[in-house]
Amino acid sequence: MSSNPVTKLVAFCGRIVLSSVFHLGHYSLLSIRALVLAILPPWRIRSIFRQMELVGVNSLFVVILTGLFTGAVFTLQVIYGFRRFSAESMVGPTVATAMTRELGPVLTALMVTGRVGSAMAAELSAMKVTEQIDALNVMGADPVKYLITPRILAAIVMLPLLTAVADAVGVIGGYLVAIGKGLDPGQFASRIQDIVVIGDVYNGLIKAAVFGFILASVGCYMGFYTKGGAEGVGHSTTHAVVCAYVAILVGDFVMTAMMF
Amino acid sequence: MGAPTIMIRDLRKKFGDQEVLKGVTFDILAGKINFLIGRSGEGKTVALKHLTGLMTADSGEIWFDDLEINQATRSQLDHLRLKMGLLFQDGALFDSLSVGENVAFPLWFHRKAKPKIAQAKADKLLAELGLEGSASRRVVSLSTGERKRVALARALIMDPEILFFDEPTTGLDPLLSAQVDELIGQIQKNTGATVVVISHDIAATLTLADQVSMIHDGRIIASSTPAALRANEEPNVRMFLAGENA
Repeated sequence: MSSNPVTKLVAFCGRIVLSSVFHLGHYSLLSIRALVLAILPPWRIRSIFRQMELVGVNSLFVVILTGLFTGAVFTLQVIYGFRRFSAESMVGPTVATAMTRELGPVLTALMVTGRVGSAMAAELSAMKVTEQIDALNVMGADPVKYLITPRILAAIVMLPLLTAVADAVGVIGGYLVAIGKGLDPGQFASRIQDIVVIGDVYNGLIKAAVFGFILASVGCYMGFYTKGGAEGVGHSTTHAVVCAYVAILVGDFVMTAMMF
Repeated sequence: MGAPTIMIRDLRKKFGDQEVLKGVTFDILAGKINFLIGRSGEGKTVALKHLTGLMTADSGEIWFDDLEINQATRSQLDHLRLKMGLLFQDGALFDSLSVGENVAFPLWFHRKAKPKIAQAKADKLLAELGLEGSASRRVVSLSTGERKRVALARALIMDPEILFFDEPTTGLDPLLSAQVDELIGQIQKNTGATVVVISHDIAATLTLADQVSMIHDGRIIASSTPAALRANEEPNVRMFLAGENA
């Protein structure tokens, strides 16, 4: 091996590119397989509902808190800025648009990734290192269908519902802060109806479904291909959260550019 | 249909630069107890993972009757696996399920029996293995010996034609080890299944086995009856049987 620094740098970059392409390929194959298996019988309805409970119901409290305080703090900032231009009447629509288009879907996805995506990665990687996934294989039970498909489906279904809750709670949080700051309550609400269109809400919910797919598929991929023992579990969990966060933010940019 | 004969031919596997299997060739006798022995780190478990389709060989062939598993489709492999039972070294029980659910899982997953019938069969197997009334216990509450027996019950519930045991007595006290060895013998006698045991327990090997294959440095260096193995003059076989480091 050459000791030339340039050669070393090129080799290093090459390894990173090859590794990225390898992982992206594996990730894509696993995700496509999980989605294809979702439409093939037998359907594991009970597993899907169990995962929906874990992803949705168990995340509700943290999503409500996130939505409430995001709406509240965003309103505080908007009031401060809009008062300079005597545009307080636009506070409601601005808060509602921001919540439905961006803050609701993105912050919900980030919170659920931290709570559920990491748990998926940790659970699957623990199953991997203790040979439970091998055990499923030997029993002729496809681990992708049994473990990954229900998680991805549950996240795709539950993220839009959680986002809808976050949107509503965020607007309520904003409304309460606006009233506290002396804004006219009627104006806050009526201008929302005038300016926010249903497409804002729909597109936000579509984004949320895509984020659900990303957080679950990344978490499952990282867990499913864990190597090593307890250290591997830790690495997988960390990577799952970091990669899902980045993928969600990049995906948000791409979808926003396409939708709005 | 009887248990299939398994033939392994020139199996090779590398992990990075390290070649673990360097052309493993041996036969597994149908309806008999076959031991694959060797020192730790010689590739016994890797060979077992190839036999069960959990790993794919770099080259070589594994034939289950007329099916070569490296060339098998996923559905062919799944179909073959319905005939297999594998007892993992540490049990590989599902933490999220109770003991009874673990044992009944294969029946439930493949919808081979209604839940009540599957659970009744699981209870019966657990009772036969000395774990009566344990069906509702959580896996985390089990001792090492109990985990092995639960895993064994799970491996047996589909009435497999081929049973694999990966170091079944590792981590057990001598009394439990003897019980597990006795169980392996009984199970083979009662079911007529092909049994493959990965082990470095010399006493159990010489007592239980119908055929013994010894792996050393990634190759099979002996494959014979226990009596013939005892008479084998190969230095590594002699050292292993004498309990010395090769």
